[in-house]
Amino acid sequence: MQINVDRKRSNLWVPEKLKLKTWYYRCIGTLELWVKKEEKGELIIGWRRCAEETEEVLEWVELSAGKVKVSDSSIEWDWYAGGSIQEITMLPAMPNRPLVLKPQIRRHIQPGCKTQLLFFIPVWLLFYSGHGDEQNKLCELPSEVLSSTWFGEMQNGELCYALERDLLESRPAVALSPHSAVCTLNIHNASNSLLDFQRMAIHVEHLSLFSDGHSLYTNEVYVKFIGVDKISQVKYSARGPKWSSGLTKLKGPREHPTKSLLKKSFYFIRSLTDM
Amino acid sequence: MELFENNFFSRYFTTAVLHEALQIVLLVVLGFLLVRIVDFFVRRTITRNASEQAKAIFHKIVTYGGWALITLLVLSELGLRLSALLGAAGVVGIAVGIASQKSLGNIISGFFLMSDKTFEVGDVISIGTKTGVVHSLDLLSIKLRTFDNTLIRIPNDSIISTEITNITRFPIRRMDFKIQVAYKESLLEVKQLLLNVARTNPLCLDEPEPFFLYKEFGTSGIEILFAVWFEKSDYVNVKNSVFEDIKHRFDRAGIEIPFQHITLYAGSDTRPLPIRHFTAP
Repeated sequence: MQINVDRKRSNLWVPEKLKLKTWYYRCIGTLELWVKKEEKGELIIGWRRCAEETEEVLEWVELSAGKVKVSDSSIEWDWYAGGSIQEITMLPAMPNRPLVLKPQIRRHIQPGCKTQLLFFIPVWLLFYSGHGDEQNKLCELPSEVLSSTWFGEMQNGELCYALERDLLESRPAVALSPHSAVCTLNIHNASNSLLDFQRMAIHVEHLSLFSDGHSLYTNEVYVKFIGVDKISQVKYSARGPKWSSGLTKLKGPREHPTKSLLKKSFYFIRSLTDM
Repeated sequence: MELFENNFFSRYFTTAVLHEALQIVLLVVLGFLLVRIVDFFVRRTITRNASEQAKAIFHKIVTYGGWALITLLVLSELGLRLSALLGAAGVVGIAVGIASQKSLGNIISGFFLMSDKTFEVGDVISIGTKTGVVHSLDLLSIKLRTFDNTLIRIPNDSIISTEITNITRFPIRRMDFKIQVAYKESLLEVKQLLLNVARTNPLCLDEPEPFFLYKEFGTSGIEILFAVWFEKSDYVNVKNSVFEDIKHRFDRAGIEIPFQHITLYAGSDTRPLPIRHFTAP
């Protein structure tokens, strides 16, 4: 049974050859998907947010004729005209805005100390017709809807997604969600004061996605904290986490980072409550 | 006919006239190039960090000023006495100035408004009772495009002395909902329900956190101020989705939104209003 689950996970990002005039179905995260290739070349993609308890269907499943109606108003439909390509590829991507990570349990890092923390980022799903060099991007949808948040000052902050997660110190023993990527965060408190880690903005648009055939990983993020309200130094490694092996790159970053980015990463509550 | 042509050309197309004409053409061409170069340098230096509207106005000043100068030089080349012309222009200028005091006031107010940087083209502003998107900021007036797609022209000098609200100046805004609940309702349940509305709506920002305040014991119920923060471009979607969600959740939880009750008093504490039934014919 475990082998079957692994196979489904490894097939998640593999191109699927669609039979003409046949409906296919998938359910990933909170996203239900329907796909059909018409004889004249039209590709129909439908999607809907499902209840959290809906069972995931990781492989494309053929549906019997008449089971899906494009007149169903609860489903969002997109029609893509033209093209004889019968393959559809789904690839993971990082969210399109920075994330503000809020640990569920408050963490403190002592002066001069380094720590490694892991957390999960729900990926976006990118749909392409064809594969390889013939790929045409069709649409992108988040596998999980994240709430928005504001990071920084009222006048010049930035719009981010909020991600309240428990942070892990080591690689999780349990199976990871197939649509979440493990991000490794290395924090170095180079200041003389205690680092009260309440929230942190992570520019996930600079992160790539790697797979070991089972789970997704992002490249490692290194943050050097030098003091409250001072600019932290942020670096992104070129590859996935050191502790994982046999990784293949699935998707590059949305935006390529410069070698060393200076970002105001840590932000403290008192700035926001100054109303 | 041939004689006429010979006379005409020999009279008007002399070497001196052609030389003069060439000088004027050269003056216009060089003047045109100079105006373009000055305009280019003004854009690159003085107005580099200025708003688009300020850039446009400086461009107009340089262009019109430059062409006025070129015209004067051309007239001078043609033999017109500039001192007399400028003297006449001075007299005309005073007359026009007196006649157009209002317009000059508008121009000066326009410069103050530009330097004030209260708003720019594309901002949503309220001036007095008028609200709309700033369509253009000109020398004499600003033009607002209202949300029902009409154009309002407001003179600059009236804006300078009026209170202006720039609605879209900052990237995030707070939307206030004034809600009343019946006295019988559990306030803690209402508070939890409203905070959940904000928490589950992806357009409402987690931070700054939603604002909740019991305002007062009103005439029909308890007045509450519930406010959520949102990204300024989501105004309509946030307003509609939060509104719908509040009503839906209140209905589901059986929380009463009171409305004003009017009890008709018939003059007696015990007897109801007399009602007579009629049978339809």
